Parts: sequence; structure tokens; C-alpha cells
Amino acid sequence: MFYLYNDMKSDIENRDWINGYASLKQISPANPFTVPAGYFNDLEDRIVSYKNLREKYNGTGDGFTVPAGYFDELTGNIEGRITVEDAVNTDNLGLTVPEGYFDELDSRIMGRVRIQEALDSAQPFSVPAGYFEQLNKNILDKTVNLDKAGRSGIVRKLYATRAFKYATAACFALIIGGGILILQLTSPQYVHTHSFLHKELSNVPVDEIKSYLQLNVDPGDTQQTVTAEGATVKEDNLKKALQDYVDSVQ
Amino acid sequence: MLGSYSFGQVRVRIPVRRGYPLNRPANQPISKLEQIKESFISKQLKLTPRESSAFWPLYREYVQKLTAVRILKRMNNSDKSVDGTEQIRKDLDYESQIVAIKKQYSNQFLRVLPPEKVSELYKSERQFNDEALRILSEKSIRAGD
Repeated sequence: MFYLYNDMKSDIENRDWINGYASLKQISPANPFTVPAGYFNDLEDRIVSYKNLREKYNGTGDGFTVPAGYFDELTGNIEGRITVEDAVNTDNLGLTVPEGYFDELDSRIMGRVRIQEALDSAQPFSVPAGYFEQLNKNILDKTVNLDKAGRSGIVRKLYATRAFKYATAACFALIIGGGILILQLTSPQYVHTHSFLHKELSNVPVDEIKSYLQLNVDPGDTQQTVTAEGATVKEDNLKKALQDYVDSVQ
Repeated sequence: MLGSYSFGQVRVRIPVRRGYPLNRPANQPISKLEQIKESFISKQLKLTPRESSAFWPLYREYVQKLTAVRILKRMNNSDKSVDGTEQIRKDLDYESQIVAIKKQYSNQFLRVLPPEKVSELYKSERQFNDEALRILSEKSIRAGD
């Protein structure tokens, strides 16, 4: 092959053969067909390698095989896959966040942490340490074991002080005295003796009152008043005063 | 001291005793008892100035006339009075005069006061007389009579 190549190369270079092809003389002598440098140097190796590879893989067939009836079911499979994709809607799986979610995430997390800390520190339902451990014993001590303990607690009397007794007595005395005073102030006798008329007439001399009564009061009216109210005007004295009056007139 | 009053055909002289002037002139001061009575009646009746100016002269005249007839009636019924038909006639006559005076002045009071105040006037007079009797009773008890 090498010799053949060299012969061809010498024939091309001397260009003697072109005389026999008049049409070729019209073509530019510059060779438009070039190969990379050293192309023909390793051409043989590459051809041999290609030949070996072809022999190796031709024994197992073409290598691109499909199951039987693959293309018959291909259209149905593709449509089914599209239907499944649409149903699952893989583009909208709910894994979305509100707008600006991550911008406020830090502040919200810190706020939540502070609230939780405040709740933990202000726990209203707290019991003393060991409360539930001693709860059963405490209940028993205050119920069934109370008799066993003999009720040895100290009993203190309330309101037993001397000052309290005096204060109580003073309060009772004040209440009773106030009640009596109110009864006296509201009694008809008290009202009568403190009336305007009673006070004014009390300062009038007796003789003047007698004269007035003798001149202005009918005997019937006087008798009615004396009888109805039980006034203790002695009839003899009144008659004597009236007689004196009449005598003085005559 | 004597005053002169005329009731119908009877003309009598009215005595004035111990500071209770029956024939008191308009400018003469009234007794303490009289002041108290008028003050009490005024308080009970709650008179307006106009009512008061019309009422008090009328009332004083009424009291004077009534008291005069009562005195005559008592004198007629005294032991020194002569028994007989004349005494009986006079007593009934005085009673009639008292009623006539009360009727006459009742009508005159109604001209200057509303009926409620006229009624209150008679009640107040009665209250005053009762209280005077009570005071006399209390003073009699204190004096040991």
C-alpha cells in the first residue's frame, strides 16, 4: 500500500498524466482537497480499529431494540403520561410561600420565641416543689389521720380581749341610748311640749290665761276638752274664778 | 275701765280686766296672749299680705263682739241674776246673738279668704283654746291646786 501511495504521489507531482485528460487541464492545479497533517500516517491503524469494533458489535445485533409492540402502544402511553402529569400538576404542588415570606421570617420567629419565653416565665398554674409527691399524705393527714393526731392544735378564742368586751358594751349602750332618745324626741308629749304654742303660752301669766278662757271659751267646749284629754283643771277653781270675774263686773 | 257695745236692742258696758282690752283702740297695744293668738293664727293660715290687711281688722271686730255677748250671757246666768222668764229669754237671746255674729262674720271672712282658710281659722282658734286650757292645767298641777 505504501508503494502504491508513493507511485500515486510521484505521478501527481509530475503531472504527465494530465495530457491524456483535456478537460482536467481546465481545472486549477491548486488542490482543493486537503487532509489534516499526518492523516494518512495513522490511517491504517484507524481502519483496523474500526474494522475490529464493527466485528465486535455486529455479533449482538443493532443494539437499539424496543419491546414487541412498543410503537403500537407508544401513542397511548404518551397520552396517558400527559394525563397523569396534568392530574398531579407537578408545577403547583402547594409548596409556595406568600410574597415577602422570607423577608419577615426572622422577625416572626424571634417574636414567637419571645412570646413563648414570656408564657413560660409567667406560668400561673404552678405548684410548690414536691406538691404532688406529698399530696396523698397531706390529704390523709387532714382526714382519716386527724383523729389519730388527737387534734392537738391550738384553739384561740376570737373576740376574747378585754378591750373588745368594753367596746361591745359601749356599742350596745350607745344603741339603746340612741333608741330611747329617738323615741323621746318623736313622742307626742315631746312634740307637744316643744311646739310653738306651748312654749309661747307657758310664759303667759295664769291670771291672763284664766281671763281669756272665761271670755272666749264656751263652757261646753271647755268641758269637752277637759273630758277628752283628761286635763286636771279643777272645776271648783274654774267656777270660783268665773264667779269672781262676774262679781267684779257687777 | 268699761267699754260700750250694742247688739240689737241690748246695750251693755264691757269690762276690761288685767291687760285684756276688749274695747281696744286701733293704736292701743294688744296683750301678750292676744299677740300669741294672732301669731299662731297667722302661722296656721299662711296669709298673704293682702289677705292679712283685710282679715285682721275684721277678725278683731268679730272677737270683740263675740266676747261681749258671752260676757252678757254669763252675767245673765250668774247666781245674782233674778230667776224667771226674763232670764230664760235673755239667755236664749244671747245664744241667738252669738250664732248671728258667727254667721255674719263667717260670710265676711269668706269674702277676704278662701273657704279652706276660713275653716282653718276656726280650727286654729279651737287649738289655741285647747292649748291655753292645757297650760292652765299644767300650771295648776305645779301650783298644787
